[in-house]
Amino acid sequence: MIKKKICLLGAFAVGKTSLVQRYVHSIFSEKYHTTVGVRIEKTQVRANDTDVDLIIWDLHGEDDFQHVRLSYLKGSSGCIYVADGTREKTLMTALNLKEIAENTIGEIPCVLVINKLDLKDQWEIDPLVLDDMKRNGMMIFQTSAKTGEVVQQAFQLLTRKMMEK
Amino acid sequence: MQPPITSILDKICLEIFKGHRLAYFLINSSGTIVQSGGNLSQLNIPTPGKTDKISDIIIFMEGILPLKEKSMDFSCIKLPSDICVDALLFQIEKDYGLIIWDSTQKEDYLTQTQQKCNELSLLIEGQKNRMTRLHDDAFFGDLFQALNFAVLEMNAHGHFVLTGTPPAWVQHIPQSARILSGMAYPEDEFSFLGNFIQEAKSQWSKHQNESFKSGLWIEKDETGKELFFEATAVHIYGRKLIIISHDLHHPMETNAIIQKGRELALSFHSLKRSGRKLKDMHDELEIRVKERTKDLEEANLKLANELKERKKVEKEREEISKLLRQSQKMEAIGTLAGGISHDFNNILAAIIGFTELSLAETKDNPLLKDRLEKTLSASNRAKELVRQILTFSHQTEYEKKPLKLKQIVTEVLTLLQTSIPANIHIEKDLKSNAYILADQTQMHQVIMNLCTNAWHSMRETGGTLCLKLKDTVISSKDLFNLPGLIPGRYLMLSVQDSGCGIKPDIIEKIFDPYFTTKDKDKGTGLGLSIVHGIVTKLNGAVTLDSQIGKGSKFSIYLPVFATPDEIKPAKELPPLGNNETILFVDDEPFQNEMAEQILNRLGYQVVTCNDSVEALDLFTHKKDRFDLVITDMAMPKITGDQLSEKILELRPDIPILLCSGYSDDISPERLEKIGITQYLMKPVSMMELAKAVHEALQKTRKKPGL
Repeated sequence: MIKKKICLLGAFAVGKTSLVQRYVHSIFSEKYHTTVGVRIEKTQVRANDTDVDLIIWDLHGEDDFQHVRLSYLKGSSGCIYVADGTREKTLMTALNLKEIAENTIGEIPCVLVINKLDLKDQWEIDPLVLDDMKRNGMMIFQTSAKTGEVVQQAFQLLTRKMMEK
Repeated sequence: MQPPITSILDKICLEIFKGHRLAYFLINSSGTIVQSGGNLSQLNIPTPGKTDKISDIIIFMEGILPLKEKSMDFSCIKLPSDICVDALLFQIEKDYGLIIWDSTQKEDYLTQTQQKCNELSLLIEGQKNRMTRLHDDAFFGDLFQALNFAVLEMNAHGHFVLTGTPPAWVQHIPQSARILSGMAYPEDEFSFLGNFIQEAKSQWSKHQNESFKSGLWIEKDETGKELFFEATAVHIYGRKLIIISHDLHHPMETNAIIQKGRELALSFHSLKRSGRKLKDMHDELEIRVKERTKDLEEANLKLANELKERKKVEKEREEISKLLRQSQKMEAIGTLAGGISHDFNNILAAIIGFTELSLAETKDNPLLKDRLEKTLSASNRAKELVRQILTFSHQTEYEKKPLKLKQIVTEVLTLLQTSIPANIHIEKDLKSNAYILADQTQMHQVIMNLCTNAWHSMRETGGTLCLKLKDTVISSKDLFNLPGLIPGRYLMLSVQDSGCGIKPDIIEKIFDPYFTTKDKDKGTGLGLSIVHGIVTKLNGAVTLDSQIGKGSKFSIYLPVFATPDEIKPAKELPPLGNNETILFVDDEPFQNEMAEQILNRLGYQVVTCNDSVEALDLFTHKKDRFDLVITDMAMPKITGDQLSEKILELRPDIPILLCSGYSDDISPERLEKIGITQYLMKPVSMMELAKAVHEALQKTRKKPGL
């Protein structure tokens, strides 16, 4: 069985754990729960006609108080960078983490997830900015861990990308 | 031999860290778990290889190996089985060892802490976002629209124009089409708004970020319905906005509000008017209070001056009262002195008269003559003393006569020597023999007062009293220091003491009446005042030179009357009669006896009478027998003046000499009215009597037809 480790990186409270829970367990909790350290989840998916064990490392959020331990990224096959659509600043954090991660473990398949699509009307992130990034080759998904919208697609696409590599 | 690694790990997990629920795994280079141990069961981790599921440990190890470093630690790893562990992975030659232990509690604690931090961060971020959104025009627009506000914003030209999406009610206001199309500025269409905007601009110029409301603003729409608005001026993020609210109410409610508003406005204006009226009244009252205060101040000042004046008057009254008491005392003394002097003069008249008669008959007895002359001299001094007493008590007129001042000074010093203490030495240097025209008694008083003051100033310490008398000539250049004098010859008398001196601050007051430095009972304060008054009246002057601790020197300047030679009395003889008959009337028998002897000696026939009634009877029957009548004034039954009147009625041409020992018996006017030829003051010397009789008879003889 092919095993692939993927890491979720992003600012705090952007919905990383919620995305994993939605993807692995199909559940969502309105209550915000901070992650300390790392939460490891495993799920089995099929990609490119192959069963893959996805080992998902849900790393704690980046904030002013704690930084992501880059050593946890070791052995990752892919990364999901997560931002909160209603907080423009989290996009900058995600992009910043992407740069740091690539400097540590090199370029690996990744996707950018703009979460909280269910609050689209409150979004601060300018869609035009996202369009620009897409044009520059970034794979971007607008998801909602709450409703489950596009969550599956984001993990699927990353898995495929990992498998292709 | 080195113990196997498993026994070491067992010892660590099961013995050393027994209570920490440690477990270990030995993993080969390909990642397969070779061996495990420790408290796996306590950690609720299935033993690897006993289950078909992928071991949590294998999942955890995925991607980690091979290690680049010799060891790697992990914190708060939440495994798929929901166990939270810390882990230490380390290299053992080609293989790996992994120790894990429970970190659930640690994870809980950290999670709680981090949770709070993150929630706080979210809150802060949310606030920041809200603040950021306020800048957003769209947000503004949405907000204002939602609140049903019309918003005017000041443009670059300083005009306020509608901004954003105007609410529906704007359509109802007059001129809305012009405003919405931008053809008109709202501030031009609505004067209320125009005024408010002007006020807002003015306020903003003073307080940049001030926000304020306009109050109720009422406009009528096309149908006449009253609409009301409220404008709020705000200056926010550099934008000047007028936010106009218009709440639609039920007409009844609107009317009630308008009604209430108008009532309030009326009340306000009424209050404002009342306030203004009150203010006017207050101002008027203030003015009246100020005026009244001014009046009161003036009245107070006037009252203070009046009180001052009254005190002054009271003081003057007190002084006058004191003077009056003094005057009354003097009058009483004068009355007493007058009464005594009358009798005394009669006695003296007899003494002098008889002594003079005796002297005339002692030509051959020089010893007796000398004794009689001394008796006469003493009698004359007694006579003068009586006159002085009468003068002192103002019972007689001052009489200016040529006086030799040296003589008076000598007399005063003779008197003083008996009363001045022994520790006061008297020096005198009396060089001048010049005469002055003055009253002897007054001059006596002047010198006595000056000398008395001088010795009083030395009475405690003793010292020298020095009197100098000399002639001096005052020229015009001396007049500066001696104002009031005219250039000419003067007598200067100085009275100098070596006493305590006079303080400079009271020098100007010492000549004031009633000013005294002595105790109340010891000084009247009149002494120097009398000196000044007498000397000034004689066209003289008084000067003072005084030094504290060294003494004082008073100098009086009196004009010289004439050369001594001019006035030196010649030795004269009494004029003698020509056997004329004189009626002499006096109730004192010895007076009659003396007069008879003197007048006989002077060459006259004398008829004496002790009773005035008898005298009148005698004259009535033998009126042509007498050439002259001499009568005493104070007599029982008919007084001298009454007797004279009656005699003159019988024989108007007869000369009458009226004598009295008491000066106040009769006034000069009365004497003239009666027709008295001469008034003689007792005691009368032989010479005086001789002259008076002679002159009276001479006058009668000169009358036409006689």
